[in-house]
Amino acid sequence: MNIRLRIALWLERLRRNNLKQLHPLRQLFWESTLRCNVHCLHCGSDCVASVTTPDMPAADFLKVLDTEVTPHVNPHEVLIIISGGEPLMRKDLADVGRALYQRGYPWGMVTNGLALTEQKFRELRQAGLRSITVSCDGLEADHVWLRQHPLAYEGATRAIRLCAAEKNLAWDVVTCVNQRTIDHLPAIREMLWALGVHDWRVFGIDPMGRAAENPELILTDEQFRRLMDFIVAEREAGRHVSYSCEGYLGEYEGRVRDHLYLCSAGISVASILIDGSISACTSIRGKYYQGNIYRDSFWEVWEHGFKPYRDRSWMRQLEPCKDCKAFSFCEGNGMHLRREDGSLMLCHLHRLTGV
Amino acid sequence: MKKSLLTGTNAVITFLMALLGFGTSGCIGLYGIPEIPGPEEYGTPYATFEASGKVTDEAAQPVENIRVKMKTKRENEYFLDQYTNEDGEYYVSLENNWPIDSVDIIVTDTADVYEGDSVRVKVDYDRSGVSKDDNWNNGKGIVRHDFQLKKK
Repeated sequence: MNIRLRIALWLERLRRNNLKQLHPLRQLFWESTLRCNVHCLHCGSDCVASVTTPDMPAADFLKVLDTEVTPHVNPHEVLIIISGGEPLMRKDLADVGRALYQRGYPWGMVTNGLALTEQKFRELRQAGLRSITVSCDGLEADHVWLRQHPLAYEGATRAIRLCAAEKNLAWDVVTCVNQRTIDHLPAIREMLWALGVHDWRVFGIDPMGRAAENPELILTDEQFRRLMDFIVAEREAGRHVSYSCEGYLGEYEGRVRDHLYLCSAGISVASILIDGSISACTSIRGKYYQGNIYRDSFWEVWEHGFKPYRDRSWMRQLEPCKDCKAFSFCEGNGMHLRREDGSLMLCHLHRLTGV
Repeated sequence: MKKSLLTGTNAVITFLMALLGFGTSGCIGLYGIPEIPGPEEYGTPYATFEASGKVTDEAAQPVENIRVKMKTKRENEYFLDQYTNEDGEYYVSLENNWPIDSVDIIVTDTADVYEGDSVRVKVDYDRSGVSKDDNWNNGKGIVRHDFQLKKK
């Protein structure tokens, strides 16, 4: 590892330790519904709750904002991300968005695009939507296969076109790369760029939820290294392609993302889940939930809870982190990759280096 | 005090890392907002909208008291409902309005002397005079449309 990267990683470590003490709330996910209009093979929601779970009433979420969050933050600095399920399944999405906007919160959502008609898009924009991520997992056949819906590709590409034609909208496309699509990345990039995409984030699929039962979805170590090399080449060619936020990547740090690795879960990211649970990223296991809005004060939890997130020395006691020399940079990988028993599902560094 | 110290230290670290050619941010679900304000802005697009025109008869003489209604393509409610003045003119100006792509203008004669008319007009925006940093301001959208009505 070159000295420049090593210095930067040490500086990032200092910054991360300061951030843990500051823990400024910057992103608040709201798992507003578990209903969805597709049935993705890699869905992570399936492992925590059934889709028969009722939506959380918007009033419950807004009450937490009004009484527990707004008095302590500058709303303009906290991005509310409405997630699911598919957020567009909620009929009151624009009403909720407008309520957030009137309170001064920027808000965004992640969508598969299937229900995003031009009329709905315009309605959401007028309700203050300022940030959107569209999921598109490959060329038509592969996207339809992964999303298990014949119109999934049509919906995703329509949503992309709507975003591309819009001014003053922060948006990007995310792609979950799997064994079927790893060899098609250049073609997928060409397709996306032709649609007007300029920001593309690619993810691997983690062995959780439905994906845990389908090994075809999860890249081999060799394919994962190829994915990294693809991103490096794209960035060197001037295209803004990034790897997702997860995983310390060793020599690839600083080359496949705009920033060095940092798991912000519980440091600047919180979530309110469908049943009121207070967590960080929505895919984190139940053991690490920190409370429930129907029982606890959200702000008390944010200020004084989240200890396993802000002090990750407990991960140091477990394999494979026990003797790992990169622990001070990695701190045990993302919280969402920790199983209930604390063990790690996946080590990105191991995938890249084999050690 | 402690908070200021930590925030200041992180600002220095961020600067040093930038010198080394590295960015800082957290886990970005959509577009992360780092502790130092970046280019992300809170708000929605807005614009000034101005529409005007003149209603004349077949002899090019102004016609007073013609009802002029205006709405956007997507909304069913009219944001303008007024009568032409003695010079046959109508005018509306909206400040800090959601940028309108196009408007439908409908003119009718409530006295039933002239035939009505309607038109859809695309709105073009002029951003001259808008600061480059003011990304939400779409500038000024101007619509000018005159009608010449036939007698029934």
